Amino acid sequence: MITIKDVLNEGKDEVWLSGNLSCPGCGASLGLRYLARALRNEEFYVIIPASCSSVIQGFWPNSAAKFSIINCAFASSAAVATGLSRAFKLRNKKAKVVVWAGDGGTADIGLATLSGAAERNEDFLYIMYDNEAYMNTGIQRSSQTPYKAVTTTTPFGKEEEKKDLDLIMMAHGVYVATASPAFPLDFFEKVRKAVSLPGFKFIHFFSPCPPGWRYPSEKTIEIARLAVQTSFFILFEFENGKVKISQPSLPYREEKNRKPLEEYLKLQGRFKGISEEDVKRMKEWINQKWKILEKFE
Amino acid sequence: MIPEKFLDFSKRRKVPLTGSRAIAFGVFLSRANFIAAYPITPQTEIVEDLSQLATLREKEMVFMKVESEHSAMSSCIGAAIGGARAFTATSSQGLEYMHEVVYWAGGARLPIVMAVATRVIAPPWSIQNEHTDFMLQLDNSWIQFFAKDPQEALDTIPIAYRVAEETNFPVMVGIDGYLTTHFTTNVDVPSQEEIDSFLPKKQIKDFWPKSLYAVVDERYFNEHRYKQYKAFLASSKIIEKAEKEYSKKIGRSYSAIEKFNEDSKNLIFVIGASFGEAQLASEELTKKGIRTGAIRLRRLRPFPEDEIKKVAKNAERIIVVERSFATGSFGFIARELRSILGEKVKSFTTGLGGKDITKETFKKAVKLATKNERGWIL
Amino acid sequence: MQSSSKKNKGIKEFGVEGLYSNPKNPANTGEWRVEAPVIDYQKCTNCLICFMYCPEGAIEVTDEGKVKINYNFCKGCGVCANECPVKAIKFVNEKELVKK
Repeated sequence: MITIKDVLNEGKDEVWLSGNLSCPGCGASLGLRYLARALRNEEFYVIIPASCSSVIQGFWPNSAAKFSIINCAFASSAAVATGLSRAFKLRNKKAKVVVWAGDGGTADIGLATLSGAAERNEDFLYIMYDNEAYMNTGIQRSSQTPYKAVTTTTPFGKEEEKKDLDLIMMAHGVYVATASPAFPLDFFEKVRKAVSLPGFKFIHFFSPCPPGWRYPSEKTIEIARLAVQTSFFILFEFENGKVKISQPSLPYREEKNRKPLEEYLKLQGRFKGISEEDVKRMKEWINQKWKILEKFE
Repeated sequence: MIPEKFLDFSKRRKVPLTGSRAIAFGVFLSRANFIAAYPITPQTEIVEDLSQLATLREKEMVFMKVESEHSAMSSCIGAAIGGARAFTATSSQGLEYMHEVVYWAGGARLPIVMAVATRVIAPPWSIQNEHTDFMLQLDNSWIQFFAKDPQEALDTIPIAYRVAEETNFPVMVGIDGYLTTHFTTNVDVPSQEEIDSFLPKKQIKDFWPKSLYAVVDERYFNEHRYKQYKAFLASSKIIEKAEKEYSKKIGRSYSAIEKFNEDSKNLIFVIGASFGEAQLASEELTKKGIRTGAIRLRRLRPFPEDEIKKVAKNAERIIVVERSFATGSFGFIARELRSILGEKVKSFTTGLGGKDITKETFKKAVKLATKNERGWIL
Repeated sequence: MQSSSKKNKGIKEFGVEGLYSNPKNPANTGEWRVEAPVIDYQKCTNCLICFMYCPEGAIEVTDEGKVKINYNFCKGCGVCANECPVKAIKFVNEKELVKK
């Protein structure tokens, strides 16, 4: 398992440069920083559809990335990655192709393209960074917004459950993993493992957003950690039909060992006014998710 | 299935081909190595033939069966960025579905070639021939040609790749649905060696670690588009040079417009396969004493302003007969012609939904044009 | 104005500059700060957790292994102070920082 010292020894300088245009405390900026450091010894191309990341990287002619970012249309990221990875293979170019797309561009408008690329088992890594709403346009709800979260298009709380994209991607039979910025070394390992595998890989990255989830910016990592400790977000890997629960989530399998969900919810203004019944329903959903994952273990 | 005996590309030969198959042969001869395929009537045979041709070059050609037209063009964009020679084909509904990324390919300056087999855009449903889908893609920063028969369809593809790679603009090649795609003629197919001498291998320039297509703010955006516009207009010189070289190496010459009996007071303007009928109508009318000629507009973008001004200088009436549905004041092409030639341009709409355009249609149009500046021939 | 022959020779590249960006720090985001973090080196144990969790990568590690905040880019988000296991990072007003 990689350590912080290892990360430092691979290179002191950042590959994702400082001075990018993200909000203070942005989970997506942290995710890109980790991704860039994890792949620093490769030539890698990151395809970014319309999302916060299209703006975070900076305006022409400066780019905060010391790697190639290819910006593309909203729904097309998986298809552009398909074309790019195939074209590289045609001329035997050894370069990695990664998609860094938001939850809107993946689970909503980009779902058909994503499913097509996964079904054809195209050779690239798709990372969905999930800030649980359309944040770039000002916090509108997406299918990944959790139950009862307040957004500008769900001012009294979202009525629908969060669409479980992990299960949808598991049904495609590809490598699926989840990751959190509170456990960066786990994310490093998953990224490095994924780019070494052939075929389609999917990583779901949990990305807290201070303005969108309405919390003070210093709590980004605390919230990401609580999400794992309450099992609101479970860290696992799915490979060859089997689920392996990742080390950080193992202690929270039993409900009695988890931190109370209220602790996670009360830190975020978007869950203000949530009722006890709603919290109970969310806890049941968490138990349900554990049951499904355990069936594949 | 393409018969085995047609698959020998080492020698120049005459082969009976439909327009669809001619395009597939053109794409294969141009050594396109990334084909994004999604079926839609009447283009389906193009991708079916290409799936068979791709087996002849298994390791060097990718036949990508995408899940939608939007993904077809998006994957062509990705492939062109990665250095492959990309091709896709589509029609009406598919072309409209991929419209967002068609515009993207133009602005991204990628040398992609796309064949459009024209068809009605629903509703009402119809799979028959109409040029509206092609016309709605004007001004996308794509160079646009419209071929009239299978021979021209085959010849235009290598020219398209040559032009695309020298100007960094994508090229759209249109052909009439059914009238050309399903129509068989004897086509002179050049050998692979002849096309290789005309179309060099694609030059690949790696751009690592630069980033592409980031946000440009208002300080720079105007100038960026201005440069794109100037480059687009300047591409007409490169197109003419490529066509001249094709004529020298292969023996068939093409230009922005095709003229018949152009020294006439009435000039019929058409696009595509109905040029034949327009020529017949011109002959018959001229015999009757009404001197008429026909002009086929082969290149729609960049618009050949100078050639048209020259050929139409002494004409009294320009009768534009369009097989497309436009809800503006005049038809798509008539608008543009009227803006450079003035009020002598008369705009007529006919042939929608696949209705036959015959020499009688053109004769009616010429008659109507004496009194009306616009109308429909039903 | 470029001569027309020059334009024709180079139109493949003409107008494409606006499509390519180069790696360079986009902005001096240190100017966004209202409050700045200050490390108390007496308490710091060099665990490098703040270096790991900074969303900007604005915490550098010197050759001696000490952590140093790059005030050109630090946005003052506070994640470092929140995560430091020995609470060695304190937030001070911008004006006080300038004094230091």
